[in-house]
Amino acid sequence: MKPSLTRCLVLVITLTLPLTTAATQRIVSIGGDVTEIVFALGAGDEVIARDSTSLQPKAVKKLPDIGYMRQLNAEGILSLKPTLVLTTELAQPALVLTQLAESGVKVVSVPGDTTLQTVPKKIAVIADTVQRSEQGKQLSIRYLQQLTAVNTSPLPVKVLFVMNHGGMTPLAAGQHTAADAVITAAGLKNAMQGFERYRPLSQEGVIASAPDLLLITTDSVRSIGGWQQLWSLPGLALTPAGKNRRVLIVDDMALLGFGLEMPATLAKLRQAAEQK
Amino acid sequence: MRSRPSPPLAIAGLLVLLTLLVLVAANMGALTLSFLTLWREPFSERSWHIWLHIRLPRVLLAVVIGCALAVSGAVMQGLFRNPLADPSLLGISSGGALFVALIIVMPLALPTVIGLYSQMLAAFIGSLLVLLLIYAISRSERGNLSRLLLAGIAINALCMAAIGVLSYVSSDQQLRQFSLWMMGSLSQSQWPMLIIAVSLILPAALLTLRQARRLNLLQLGDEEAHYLGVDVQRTKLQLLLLSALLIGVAVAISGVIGFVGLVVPHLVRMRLGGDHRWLLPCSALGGACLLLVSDTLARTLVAPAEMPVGLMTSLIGGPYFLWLVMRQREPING
Repeated sequence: MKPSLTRCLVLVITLTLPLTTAATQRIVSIGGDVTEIVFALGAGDEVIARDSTSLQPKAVKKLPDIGYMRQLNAEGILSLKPTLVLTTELAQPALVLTQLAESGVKVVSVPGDTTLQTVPKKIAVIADTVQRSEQGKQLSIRYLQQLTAVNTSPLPVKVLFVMNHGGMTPLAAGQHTAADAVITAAGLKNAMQGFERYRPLSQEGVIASAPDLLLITTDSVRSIGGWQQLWSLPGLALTPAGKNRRVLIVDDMALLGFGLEMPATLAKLRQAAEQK
Repeated sequence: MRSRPSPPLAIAGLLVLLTLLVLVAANMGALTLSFLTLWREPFSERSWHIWLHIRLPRVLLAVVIGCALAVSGAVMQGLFRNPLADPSLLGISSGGALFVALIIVMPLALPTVIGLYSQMLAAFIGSLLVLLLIYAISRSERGNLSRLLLAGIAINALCMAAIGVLSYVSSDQQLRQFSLWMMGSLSQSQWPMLIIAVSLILPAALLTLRQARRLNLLQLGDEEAHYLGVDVQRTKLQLLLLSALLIGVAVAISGVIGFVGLVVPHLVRMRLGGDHRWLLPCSALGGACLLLVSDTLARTLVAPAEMPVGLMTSLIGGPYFLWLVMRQREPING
């Protein structure tokens, strides 16, 4: 059940404070993709705080961190005296965002779907909100140009995406995951078929899926204990990817954040898949 | 032995303490929004709005939930004649959590009025089922402590496993909704929620207080209580229902918050003795104090972010529990 496109595009909950066009905003940016786009539009100096998933660009790390985007604190955010909260629609709890809006802060929700077409929509919503429509158009055009430059014709390469976050068993991405969307968008095939979301790696399942390429994020590699340990994951050594040691390690947000780095990530993935 | 303060004095003292804590907590927050600022800018609508709709409901909710957790803990320790009975230790909270997970993953088409209460109803039913199960087990073995605790641990593990299965089949959205709720937080505080909580917890707590004398007589043993004119089965059933309701409401609103139900009644018992007529009201006040302090710390220590309040109570309660266990002289198998 997806909300209708119009509702998805922009959800301005309320606007109680009169905002003059010239005034600079005090922006709290929630979501790594949102923050990245705000900075790319040149509105970075209006950002006063970010959530813990916002790590790009580097300058953002100096800003106060309001915590994990699914565990927001209404008073904490208000204490920073924001005039605008730009948030991915995936942020929680919804009640906190409602409370912010009721306290006179403009809250704008940015679409969070994991498709390539969502990125221009994100840019449009954010650009309109921070009054940089022209820069937004240019950014969208540049993104679409970069995207079309990537060859996405079907290629019979099976990719296995593994996620491993501290202490948990490694998980493989099935359908309806951000990783599946990236793999398909690059014209490749997700090795794991027949289940949705993430499932624990099983030795036989991994061998049967016969991936040609292993795709994994930098954070996951770190929590596994280095890339040398990758091939000791269940069954992996016995797959084509394991035998040929074919792996692509990508930054977490670049791969799963569906932000501006998407075309570059797709190109990398494509390059890794085409190497033989 | 230390001299014991007179119980009415203790209640008065705790009331004063709670009032002070409420004032301090309402004065504290990530936002510098003290009574002084409210006084200086009496017409600043925004400050008032934030204070009235964000901070105040949260402070009051902490008081009410803390009260419910501590009273149910005290009742269960009395009912099981067992100092280690605690809703989160015996799997009663996780029973409630399991049923809330069921409601989230398999939502029923309920009319809106019931829908508002549906999480609480589910938590109540879940808590009650586990409570009845534990009660049956504890009765069959005449209060064998280790058996009861092991059964509780097993039930806890079972409920957690069932919750795991549910989260395995749930959608992303449901999983997020659920894991957020499981962490234990009072961030869902708003006036409608508070009014629902008070409308259920206050009557349940008052009805429990009315059973205090009978709960005292039950300490002598079922038979003795019966000879002293207590309708044992009826009293026990009433108390079970009431404490399941108290835990259910608390779990439904704020997730699983541990240790309040265990620590507070113990502290009160050490100072005042085991008379439930004083133990119950003092536990209620003490529980309110503990949760209020924990939640105030949880929302201010790492501001502008926030910590799960369950973490805070466990951090305060955990070491105390350990000390309690190490201090216990009699063999646990007694």
